[in-house]
Amino acid sequence: MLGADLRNIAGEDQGAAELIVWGLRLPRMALAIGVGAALGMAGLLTQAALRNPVAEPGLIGVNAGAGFAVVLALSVWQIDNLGLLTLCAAFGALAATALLFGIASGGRSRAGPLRLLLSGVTVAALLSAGTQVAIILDEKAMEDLLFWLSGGFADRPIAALGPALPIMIGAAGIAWLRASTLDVLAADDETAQALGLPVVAARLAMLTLAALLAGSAVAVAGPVAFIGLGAPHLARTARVTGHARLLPLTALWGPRSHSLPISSRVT
Amino acid sequence: MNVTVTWIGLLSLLLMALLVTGVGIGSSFIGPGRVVSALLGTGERMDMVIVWTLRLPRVALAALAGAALALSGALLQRATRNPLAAPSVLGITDGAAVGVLLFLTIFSDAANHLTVSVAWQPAFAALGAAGFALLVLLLGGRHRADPLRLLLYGVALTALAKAVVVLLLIVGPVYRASQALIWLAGSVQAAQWRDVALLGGVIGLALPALVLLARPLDQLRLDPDSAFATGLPVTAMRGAAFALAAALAAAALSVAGGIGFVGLLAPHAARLLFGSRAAPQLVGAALLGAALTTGADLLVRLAFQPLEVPVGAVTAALGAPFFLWLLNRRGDAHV
Repeated sequence: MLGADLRNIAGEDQGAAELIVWGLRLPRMALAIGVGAALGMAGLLTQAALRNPVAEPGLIGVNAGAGFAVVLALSVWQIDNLGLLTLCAAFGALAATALLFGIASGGRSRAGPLRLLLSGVTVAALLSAGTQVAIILDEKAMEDLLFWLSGGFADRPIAALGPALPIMIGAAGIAWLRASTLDVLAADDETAQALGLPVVAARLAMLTLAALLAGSAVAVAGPVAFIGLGAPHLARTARVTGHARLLPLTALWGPRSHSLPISSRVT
Repeated sequence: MNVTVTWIGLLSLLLMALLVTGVGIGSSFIGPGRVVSALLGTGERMDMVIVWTLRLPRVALAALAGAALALSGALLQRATRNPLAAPSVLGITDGAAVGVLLFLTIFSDAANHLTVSVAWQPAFAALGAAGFALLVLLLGGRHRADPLRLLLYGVALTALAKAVVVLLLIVGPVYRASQALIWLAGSVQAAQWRDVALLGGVIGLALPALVLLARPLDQLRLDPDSAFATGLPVTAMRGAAFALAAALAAAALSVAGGIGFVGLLAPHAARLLFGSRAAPQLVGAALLGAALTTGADLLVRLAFQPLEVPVGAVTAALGAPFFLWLLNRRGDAHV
């Protein structure tokens, strides 16, 4: 089997096998790798910015925002075009983050990590409650949504990765260039301020990058949970210090830690 | 201290008012006066039947489930020393969901009829919740210095359980999915006295343990080494708090479904109102949790008649504005 695969990639064999490898399986692999890396890095950024080892973008409402937007699109606007749904999901993910920033910076004092975290959890709960009510009111949308929610890669068109990839690469690049900011943010606020970092602005900037990474990943693949949380911890087992090294390691661990959903969905 | 007592008094009054309103509202309205006399056993025969057999089990179950989940969340947050801990984060809620879906999958025939009584569903939910909780405790509970392991194993098993649930939902027929989704979102509409007795019994058994744990729970807030230095058997106490939390959550989930939000945010709301001491926080969390689910159930019946929207979907909608206000009301001192 493996030999046949390799020959197919090398372009020696023709016919059905070639179509399967180039037309179906490789795109799906590419999608899985891109999504896994983006979610893993988004998790690392969130964990550093919110200073909690179990934080991840899904926890503060990115997935819930995407899910809610998709449900609205499915049941209220009756959209069934996958490309448009992808766009809706991306918009929902970013809108949820914007909502969180609005709420957390509306208070009288500056947005500390715990307040952002708890506000994010609340926003997430609110949005997924909306999704649940919409599903129960509209059973037709339920089956479509269930499939989208599970985050499968089988029938996502590779075209969806086209617009998402530059966003992912750009956000990851900026985060990597600013890795020292992450190191400082992951310490405490007093240290960060003493080192001259505008703490609140830096934290929001890092969360925005995380939302861009996770939002584009969730938009193309549905909300695949756990990678965002698991990959950074797997990367930390290598005992490296500094986010400049952790970030690429996490990107490598990301795709590996979701081989489970891929294999569970063999076409 | 006076502020705490005042708040606890106010919350108790709010809860009482919600309970009486909850019993009074339905397809036939019963005024508060008649509700109270029916509760005391002196009302009209018709009112007595409606109140005691139809409305009270539902309202009582909502209140007890909210209290149990809030207590469970507060215990888990202290056991793991992480503000994000909750039954839904540590695999307990999704473990119960796995139990329910396995039940529906195994005992459904080709025509989607259950081959055994639906009364077994809570047992499977409780088994699923307890099974996953035990797994988390066994895998992550042995390291004294590292409560984070408990949380990380919990999150990993939550992901596993969620994957199993989605898989079973997709593989099975749509009818089963909608059946399961009602449970997943939490619902008390089919409440019976049997359920209330079960959950009330578990809470009753947990109360003495909570009283005994109040002081160790304060010590657990210290970092593990300091807590150990105060003479606390850290690993054992953490395990005890976790097991108690799991039992409370499993009981609540098995009869009321996957009501989210309460377990995570009621303890924080209580902490913002009453401070971090264990005893007032636990009392406050239980009251807030009960009031939240009772209020949500009331809202479901008022706003979505005649549709029965699960109470779990509404707890967040009702609790979120209050919690966000609470979060942003104070400065960084408490958050």
